[in-house]
Order: sequence, then C-alpha cells, then structure tokens
Amino acid sequence: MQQRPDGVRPNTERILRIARNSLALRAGYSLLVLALSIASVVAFLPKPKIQAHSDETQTQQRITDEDTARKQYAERVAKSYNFAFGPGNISLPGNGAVEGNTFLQPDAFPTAEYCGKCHQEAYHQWRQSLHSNSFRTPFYRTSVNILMRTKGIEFARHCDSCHNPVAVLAGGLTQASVVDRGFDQDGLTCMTCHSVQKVQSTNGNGGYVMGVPAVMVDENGTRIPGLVPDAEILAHLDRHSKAVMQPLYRTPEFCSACHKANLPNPLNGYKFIRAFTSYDEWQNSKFSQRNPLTFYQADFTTCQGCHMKRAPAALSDPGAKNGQFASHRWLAGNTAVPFYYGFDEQLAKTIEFLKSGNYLNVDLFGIKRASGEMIAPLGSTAFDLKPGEVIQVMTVIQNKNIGHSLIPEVRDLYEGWVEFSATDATGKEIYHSGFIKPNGMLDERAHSFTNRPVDTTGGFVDNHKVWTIHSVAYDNSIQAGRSTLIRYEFQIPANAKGPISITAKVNYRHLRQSYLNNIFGEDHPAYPIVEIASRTRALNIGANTVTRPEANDNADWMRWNNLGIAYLDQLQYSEAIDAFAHVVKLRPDYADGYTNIGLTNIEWEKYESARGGLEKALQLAPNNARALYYLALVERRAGHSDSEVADLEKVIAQYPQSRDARRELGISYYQQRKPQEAMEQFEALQAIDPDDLAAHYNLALLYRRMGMKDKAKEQSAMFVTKKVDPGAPTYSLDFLRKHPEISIESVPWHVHTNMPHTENGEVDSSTPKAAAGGTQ
Amino acid sequence: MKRLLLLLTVIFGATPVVCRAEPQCPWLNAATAGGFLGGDAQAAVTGVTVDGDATCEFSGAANAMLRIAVHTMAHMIDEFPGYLAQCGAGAQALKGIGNQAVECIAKTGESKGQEIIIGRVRDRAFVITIRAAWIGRPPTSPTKTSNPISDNSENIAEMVAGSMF
Repeated sequence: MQQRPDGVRPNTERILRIARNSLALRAGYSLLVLALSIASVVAFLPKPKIQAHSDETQTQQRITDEDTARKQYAERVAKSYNFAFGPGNISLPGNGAVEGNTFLQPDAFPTAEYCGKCHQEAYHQWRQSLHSNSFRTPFYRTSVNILMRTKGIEFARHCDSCHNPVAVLAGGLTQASVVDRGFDQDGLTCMTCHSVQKVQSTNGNGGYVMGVPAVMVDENGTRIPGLVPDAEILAHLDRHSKAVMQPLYRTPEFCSACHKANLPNPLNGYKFIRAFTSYDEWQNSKFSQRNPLTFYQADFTTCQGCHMKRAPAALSDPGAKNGQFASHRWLAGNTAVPFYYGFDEQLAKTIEFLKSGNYLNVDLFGIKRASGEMIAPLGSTAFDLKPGEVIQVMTVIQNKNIGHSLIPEVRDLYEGWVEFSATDATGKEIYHSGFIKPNGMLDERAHSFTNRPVDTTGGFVDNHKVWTIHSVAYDNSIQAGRSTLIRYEFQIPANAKGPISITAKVNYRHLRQSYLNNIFGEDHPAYPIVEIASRTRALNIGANTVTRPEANDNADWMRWNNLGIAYLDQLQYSEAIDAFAHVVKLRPDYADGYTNIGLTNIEWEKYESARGGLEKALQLAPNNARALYYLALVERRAGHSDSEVADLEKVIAQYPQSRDARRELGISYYQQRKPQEAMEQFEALQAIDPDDLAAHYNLALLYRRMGMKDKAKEQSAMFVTKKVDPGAPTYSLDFLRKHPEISIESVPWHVHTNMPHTENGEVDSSTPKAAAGGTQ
Repeated sequence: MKRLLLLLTVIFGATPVVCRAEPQCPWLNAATAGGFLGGDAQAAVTGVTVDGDATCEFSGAANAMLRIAVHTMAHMIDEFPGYLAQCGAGAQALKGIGNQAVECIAKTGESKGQEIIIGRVRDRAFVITIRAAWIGRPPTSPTKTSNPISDNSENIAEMVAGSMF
C-alpha cells in the first residue's frame, strides 16, 4: 500500500470532506427547494375540509350563542310586553318585521361608532343626517309624545317602526319598559339599514324584514351575528361587504319600506287611510320609466340617484369608489333639524340642494286683461299696459325634475308656497301675496302646496295627530312632472311709476310656524325660509316689446304645454285644448302634444274627438305607448274590444310595470269574460300597487267566481277598508265652512286678488279677497 | 255563624290585594338610567304633582347618581332665570336640548364633581344632576353637536328634554 505523504493526506481528507459536505449541502438544498415547492403548490390548492369545518363550527357556535342570548332576552321582555295588537305581534300598528319573529336585543346592533372607525366619511355625514336624527328631534318627539300620552305607548310602534326600529324590535315600546334606550339618540343607525334582508311589499309603515345584524359572513356566505375584530374584517373585506351590502339597498323599493305610510285601523280605530306615497309618486314619475303616461321623459333615476349622489369623500372611507362616496346625508328639504342642532354643514348643503335650480320652473306665463284677452307667453309677445288696468298674472309652476310631489310626505307640517309681489319703479308695493306676517305665520291667502287634514269635528289636525285624521279638505301639491296655474289679480294704480316689477317665488319652510309654536311655544327663533325658484319680469306702463328668455326659462312650446297640463288638472278642458293646440303649432313634430289634446278630450268625455289627436300622435310615433293607452280607452268606448285589448297589450309589452295599463287590461279582459286573464292582470297590478282599489274589487269578484272563497274574502275586506269613507267629505266641508279665508284653495281653479269681491257688479267689502272661478 | 264567617272569608278572600305599582319616571326608565350609570339602577320617584311634575332619582353602583327634577313654571319669563342662575358664571350654553339648556360642573361644596344640566321645554324647567365616573369627559363625536359635554351627559339631557316635548 502506497503511503501518502503526511502533508498530502490531510489535504486529501479535507478535500474529500469538503466534497462530502458539498454533496450534503446540495442534497439539503434540493430537499429544501422540493419542500418549498410542494408547500407553495399546497398553498394554492383548495383549503382542506377540516378548515371549512372549523369555520362552519365557529359560525354555528356564534349563531347558537346569539340565538340563546336572544331567546333569553325575548322571554324577559315578553313577560311585561303589551301585546295589544295580537299575541306575538311585536310591531303593529307598524309593519316592521325581524327574522326569527321575536324581540331582538338592542346590543345586537353594532353602534355607529363601531362602523365609523373605518367608515369615517359615512359616519360624519350620517351623524348630521335626518336618518341618524330620526327619533331624537323635538319635531318628531312632540307628535309621538302626544300619541303616547293620549292613546298609549304601544301605538307609537306605528311611527317608530321607521323612526326607531331598534326600539320597536327590542320591545321597548310598552308600559314599564325594561329596555335600556341608550340607542335612541342614533335613530336609524348604520346597522338598521344595513341589516335589512328584504322588503315585505311596497306597503310602507316599516315594511322591511330586519335580519340579525351581522358585519361578516363566513366562507359559505352564512351571516355571522355580532361584532368581529377589525382585523378580521380587514382580512376579508369581501365577506364584510356581503354581510352589509345588498343589491336591494340600491333600489327604490328599499326606500318604500319607510317612505310610504298609511294610517291603519289598529292605529286610528277607523279605517285605512293612505298617508303619503313618495314611492308611488316616484313610480308614477318620468324617472321610474315604469309609467307610459308621464308628460315628459327622463333617464331612469332612483331615489338614491338624487338623495345619495356620489361626491368626493373628504374623510377616509373604504366604501368610496375612486374617491367618490355615495352621500349618507340624504339631502332633501329638512332645514329644521340642522338648524336646531347647529349642523351648519348639513344646513348649508340642504339649502344648496334646494336651491340647485333643477327642480322647479317658475313661469310668469301671461297676463289676462279684464276683457278676457290673454297676452302670452310673456317675453315672446308685444303688448301695451295702461295705468289703472286690472290684470291677472298667470303664473305657472312646473314640478320639473322632482321625482315625487311638491310637497312630499307630511305636507301638513311642511310649508311650500308661492310668494307673489308687484311693485312699481319706486319700490312701492302694489300687491303682495304669500308674505310672512310679523308673528311668523304665513299669509292665509297664500297659494300653498299643502293639504289640510281634518278630524271629525271639522278641525285642522294641527299637531300631526294623524290618528285623528278622517278627511282631507284639499291637497294642492303638484305631482311629479305636472304643473299648476296660479292667478294673481291686481289693479295697476292710475299714478303708478313704471316699470312694474312682478316676481313669483316658490318658498319652503321646514316646518309650518304653528307647528313650531306647538313644539317650542312662540318664543323660538325664526326657522329658515329657502327660496327654491323664482322669476321676475318688468312690465312697462305703455309699450312692452319682446324680450330675450333667461337661461332657466322653458321654450315657448313647453310653456304652453305646462299651461295646458295645469288647465287639465284644474278641470278647464277647453282652455287646456287651446293651450295644447299652441304646442302642436310650435312643435308639429311633437307627438305628445297631440296625445295631450286626445287625453283632454277623454277627460272631458269627448271620446270620439279624442281619436284624431291620438291617431296623429301614432302617425308621428308609431307604437307610442302613451298614445296607445289613451286610444285603447277610446276603442273601449266605441265597442272595439279587440282593438282595445291589442293596444293595451302593446303598452304592457313596453311598460310591464304600468299600473294603469294593467288595471285597464284587467277590466278589458273582465268585460270580455276572460276571468283567468283578468285575474292575472289584477294580480300583476297588486304586485305593483298593493293598495289599488280596482284590483281589490275585481279580484274579490273573480276569486269568488273561481271558488277561491278565502282569497275573495280577503280582497273584499281590503277593498272595504281602503275605499274612501263616503261620509268623510262632510268633515272637509265643515272645515271649509269654518275657514273662509282659505276655503278658496279647495276650488280647482281660483283667483288670488286684493280686489274687493264683486257680485253682479256690487262690491262686497266684507268677503275675503279671493275669488273662485267666475271672474275669468 | 259559620256560614257568616264563610261568607266573609269568601268576600274578603276574593277581594284582590291592592297592588300599587312603583311610579315610573316619566322621562327616563330605570334600564336606561342603569345603562348610563353602569349597572342596575334603583329608582325613586317623589313629589309627583297634578301637573305631572316630579323628581326621579336613580342610584347606581359606586355612588353613581342621576336626579331629574321637573317643574312647571307659572311665569316662565320670571322664574327661569332663577334656574339658570344655579349654574353661576361657569354655565355653558348647550344646543339642541329643549328650548334652551346650560351645563355646569360644581367645583366646590358637597356637590363638588356633580354635573348639573338646567333647561326648559316650553314652560317646564328641568334640573338634571349627575354623579358618575365619566363626568367631564370630552365628547367623542364632535359632529353630533358642538356641545362641550360628555356623550352620556348630553344623551341623558336630550332624552329627558325629548320626553318633555
């Protein structure tokens, strides 16, 4: 054996050792790479079942815990709860409902502060909004307190189903309540809206179904009740979003749960009375694109489209998209709440919203001389004016771009009116209507877009005691897309210095002074009055030439059209047809102008005269749903049943949610003795409008004939309760007799004047300075 | 005689025992007061008048206390300044509580550390006295109101005033 030299042997061994180590290193490295590769592949494989099982178990445990806590809570509350409206019914006379159908502990609702940690912009806006202040304000508390004191707290479930759902669902509205009402100050907190799972129908009064609040779903989409750590939400934003956002929230039907209300029998002990219907008004407006009968068209816009407009978010909010956040201020008309609480930002934005100039058009349309001659449209017509002349200024107010009526909802409390003034060149007042008196009250003879609910004594229901309402003496609101004509008559003084300046403003005050006085006594500060829209014109004594229109003025054809609409609504059919004739003269291509002539003739019951206009409209716009609808009515009258049905079917093909077309087609089928088809139409109509009387009446008959006795009974009962009490108008007449100063407002067309009333040429200075009909 | 005794027993035995429920505080229930005071609160309602005036006192754990006294003023303009004067120069005006309201924290005397909120709703004055651990804390939600008082104090005052409207 050859011996290695000493010096070499260690080197060799070292080299061999290094080589061995190197191999080991490589092998180790390779193993590590292999392990990591396997791990990375495994990481992207679907999660093993054991993990899902763990999630499911945790979720199930949370649900079980919540159920147990809820059961214990509900049992405790139920012991002393006043089930005045039926065993187990927790919300009647409201409609609020909750999954599980029993009391829900208030702390099941995460607080707004909890949400606000991340949703800072939403929290900031919501805190000043009407939703967060839906319960606590004196404006609400005053009327609901009266209800509680006079009828009992259990009746307040009607109001609080929308104003304080947590209180209702927690069982707080009962005598000797054991519920901690610490949540009251948050009104509609984040998780009241964001826990709603569906709406029961579009019947309102809190027609939602509340889920047990959850801010997360598990990986299977199951809602996890209760709070979760922020980190968990941040790690699974998609699951958070699934728990708190639903497509329903973006629909008008969601809003209908509360922005539609009725006074049901359990509340008033009388009968169903429809209170307000903002949702229905929207559905009938051009913005819904569900109604073929609107006078004008527009892009589809939801409630949220106007009241939750996206704007840049000033604060951090993960709900913002590209920096834009859907407003949680819900800007509308309420200036009283921000004024009372000192929410300057909300107040400024509310005023800005009201004054944006998009909603109304004020048109000083024409002048009517004492001779009956009409000078119109002003600005487009030259004329002479003489000193001493008595003139009527024809003022047309168009509800141009509001998706509901002017004024909407509780119009017995809100105050919108026209202030009209005429002054000479020196500023001397010639005529003024719609002024505010020194005591803050509105001039009684103002033209006000309000109503007058009355009770059985014929008295005005002044304090929003809605459970006492039995009738409405009049309702002068302007429905979406329609117009009203207001006539102001005055005499130009013989020595007047021209030009005479005439101005019409639409003012809005939230709330009526007498209601503010009821709340605070008379020593409260003056609440804001906002001018929503106005128009001024100068009238020269002597010659007046044609003037250039202002930026917001409607085109002349539309001015005539709005006048025609106003005449139509004031039952002045001849004048309406004349106005629409001007429309088609200026716009011979405008099919709706001819349809308007046709529909006016139908209203006037001149069916055959209507045909020409409608057929002309269809020549210009074949298959026009609006013209087809009215033509169907003409065909019915003429006995052309098949044409009538064919026209209505074409309308429904274009507008499946047209309540009018469904109703009329149901009637057509009924008359054709096609009960099944008729029933389908009335059922479809009822799905659109659960209160439609024709649907109730006809379904009661049809179901009975088909042997469906229970359903027939149900429909019959609903017809009876929803039908207007034929005796109720007597209360209105009582009221009008007691209030001659405003009774004129109940007459479809009337004149506002400061001239003494004349009858057969005799001046009667004792009568109010307003006149109905006749003076034109 | 036995029959008579039996009859009397039946008559008086069947007569329900007259139960008088504890009067409820008209402006805040005990559960809500307890929520603010931190635990179950014992309620006492005294001085109830035909006008509906009364004094409610809630006692909670750790010496916490909430007293609500309501009085109808015959001559509001003359009487109310006297109420406001109880707060002295340290009174802070509060917005959004009743018709008007002020708040002060007693700095000296027996009531040192107590918070007092005085206000009115129409012609009824209220005096709310609070002793609780959270007195003097700044508001956590400055956008809710601009009032410089703790959330709890503000909420109590608002609830009381709200019930009086």
